[in-house]
Amino acid sequence: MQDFIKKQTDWLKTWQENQESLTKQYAGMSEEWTRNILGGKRKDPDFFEGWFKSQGDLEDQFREFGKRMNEMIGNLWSNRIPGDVLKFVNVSFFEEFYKNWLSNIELPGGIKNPLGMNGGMQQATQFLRSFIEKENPFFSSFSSSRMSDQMSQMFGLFQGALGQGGGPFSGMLSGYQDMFGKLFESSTAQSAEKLAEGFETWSKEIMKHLSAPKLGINREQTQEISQALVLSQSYMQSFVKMAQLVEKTTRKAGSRFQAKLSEEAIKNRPVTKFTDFCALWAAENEAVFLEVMATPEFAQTQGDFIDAGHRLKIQWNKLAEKALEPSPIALKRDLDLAIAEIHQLKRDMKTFKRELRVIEKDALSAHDAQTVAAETAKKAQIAVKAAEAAAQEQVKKAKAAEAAAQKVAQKAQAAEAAALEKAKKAKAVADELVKKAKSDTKTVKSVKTTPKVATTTKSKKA
Amino acid sequence: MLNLPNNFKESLEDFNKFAQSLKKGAENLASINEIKVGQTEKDLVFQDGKRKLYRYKQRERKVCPVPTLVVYALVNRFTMLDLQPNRSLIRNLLDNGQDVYIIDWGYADRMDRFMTMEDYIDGFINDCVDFIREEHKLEAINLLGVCQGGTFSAIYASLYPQKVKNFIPIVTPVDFDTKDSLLNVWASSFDADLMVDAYGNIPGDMMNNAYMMLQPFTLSVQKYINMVNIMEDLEKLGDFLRMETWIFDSPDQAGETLRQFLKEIYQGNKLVKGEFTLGGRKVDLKNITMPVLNVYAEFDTLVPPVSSKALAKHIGSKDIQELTYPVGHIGMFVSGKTQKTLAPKIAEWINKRV
Repeated sequence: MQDFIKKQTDWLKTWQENQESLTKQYAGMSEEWTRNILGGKRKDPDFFEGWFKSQGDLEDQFREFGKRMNEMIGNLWSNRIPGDVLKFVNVSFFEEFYKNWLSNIELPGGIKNPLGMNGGMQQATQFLRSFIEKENPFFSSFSSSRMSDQMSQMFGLFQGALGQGGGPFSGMLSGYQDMFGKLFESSTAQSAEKLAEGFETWSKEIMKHLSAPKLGINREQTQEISQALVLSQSYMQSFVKMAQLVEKTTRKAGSRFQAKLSEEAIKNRPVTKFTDFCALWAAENEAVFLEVMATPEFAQTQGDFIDAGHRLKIQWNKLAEKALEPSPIALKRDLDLAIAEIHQLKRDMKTFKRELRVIEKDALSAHDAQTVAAETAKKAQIAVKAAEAAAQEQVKKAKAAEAAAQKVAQKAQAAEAAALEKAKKAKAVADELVKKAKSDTKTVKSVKTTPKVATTTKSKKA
Repeated sequence: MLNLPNNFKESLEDFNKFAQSLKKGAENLASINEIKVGQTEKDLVFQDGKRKLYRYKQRERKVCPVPTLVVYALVNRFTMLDLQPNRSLIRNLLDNGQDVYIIDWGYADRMDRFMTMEDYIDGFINDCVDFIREEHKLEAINLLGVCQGGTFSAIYASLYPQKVKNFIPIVTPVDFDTKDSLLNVWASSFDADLMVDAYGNIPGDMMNNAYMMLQPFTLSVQKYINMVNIMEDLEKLGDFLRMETWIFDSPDQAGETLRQFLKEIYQGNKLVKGEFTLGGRKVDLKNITMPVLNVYAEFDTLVPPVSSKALAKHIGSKDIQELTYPVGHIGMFVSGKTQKTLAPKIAEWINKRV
């Protein structure tokens, strides 16, 4: 790869040097041309040859650049960026501008340059056509490479399925493809129109012979082919209408561009820079096209063209399917059915999964609730047990207390009884003493010590 | 000796300069190794087949407690929002303390032929929203939708308003009954059924061509002429190529979804008419009662402002703010005008409402 890059870099250096020397040469030739013209001298044939060569060399040089540049981008970048970018980063369209820009430069005294392009511009439609043909994205639907590719594919399948590599049927298919090929290559709406007319005549003729046994196709296939021919005619007609509209717009855009070029020159602001030239071309074309493209007429013409193309594609698919039906090859419609079924299954599975998630969630919540409940129950059980134990303990304690109380009561009773007994005894003693005292009182008058005994009895009672 | 007029010589000299730029540009092109887009770090957090949900790694300590889910369009790739470090709405949102998730729709292939809007919206968007809600233990999250992704998000927010805390549609088409965009003019004149029946999935490059037709000469000629002017500057050339890489990174469109989107939303304008249903449920924009920040571009040729602004008329929210920039559709995400202010304004608006 490094070698390639070095080679390209060296080439670019040489290219640029050549570019400068060729430009000088071209300027020199132009100067001589001007001198000769103004001096009234005749120009010899060698001079013309040199002049043309000089300009031709410049063009070749630029063409070569475009070619090498695309080659380089393709080599270096094909595995780095999307293929579409490669397609669009395509400098080869500069050639067109370059050619037109060269022809736009006027020499002194109103002398046109020798390419003979009056007005300094190629015929506008040719320019646009050439631009489109370089696979540029602008209106790429008109170049219809997609249609051509599909057509070749389908016819290949068709012929393969029918096992006809040659013969009249094969000839018919070639004729059909050839007409479409020419249509896509037609450079003017007029030539497209002629082709469409020719196609109509051709297809009418073909339809007459479709059922001929030598073609080897069955009745059903004949009907489908007839339908395809009718739809092809319709497609060609819509193509022509579209081409007419684009061509009309292109002419308008071309005139406007040339008018603008002249206007700028009159205002002493000639568009001589290459990039200015390109920018003006793009701006003026765009203004005119956008005006037209915003109209219902354009939308309808474009819509008819697109619809006709799609109808034809659907019919081609159908034809290919019909041809493949007897073979064991899976048809597009079978695949579509299978894909639809798989998709529905996937969708159902997704719904089930979603439902399952909800159920899982519910189950999880229920499980959680159950766990919490079990935990609570367990705790309650423990609490009950604890309460029971506590109660038992309390009962035990109560019983013990009761027993103790009973004992205390008994003791109290016993004490009471004892006290009573004692009291009784004391009373008896007291009574006895009282009695005695009373009896003693009778003698007190004679004995002085009696009060001492009374005092002792009192304290014993207390 | 007679001299040629100055402009003739100047022309040739100017062209030599142009050729010099081409030469230098060609050398620069050879020196560029790889074009990378979408480089902000992110983790894959959820996946369903080709469809993925990423969470960007946080770049700030203080992060908004309510995360934002970004829903990009099915057309082109979400990398537009993170084209390069200095042109990245995502990075700017992260730097402004937002917690950002993004949906990557992947590349639809034949197996996705029958994917419908219901699969995308009621399926994957809903799955992603639920995933984020569960992860963050939140009832609702912020939803930021871009272009068609904004339309999808509006449908989602109508169906599940309880799951959307704040809604931020950016350059989002809502009312399709307008002549302000060529796409709207053209859409009414072709048969979407025929297109899907003919192709199955609609090729990405077909969609690209349609978009390029909106400015046919600017986007196919002028752009590449301008490219020569920047080819000498390696950094600018890198910027240009990153953008080109994004533009042409266009996934095919799942047939049934595009059929539904074109027929019912584009051609039928059923969303604003209140006639659109998804999975048998009516989509009523009036259900969008959460705060809405509607961001649109003044010079948008794909989604004209009038189509975005219509949202305010049809939703039930009382808290609606509009934010507009003098840029185009893509400029909203990559232009210098929006880089400094768009994300901070969105972040500030969200922070006030969480």
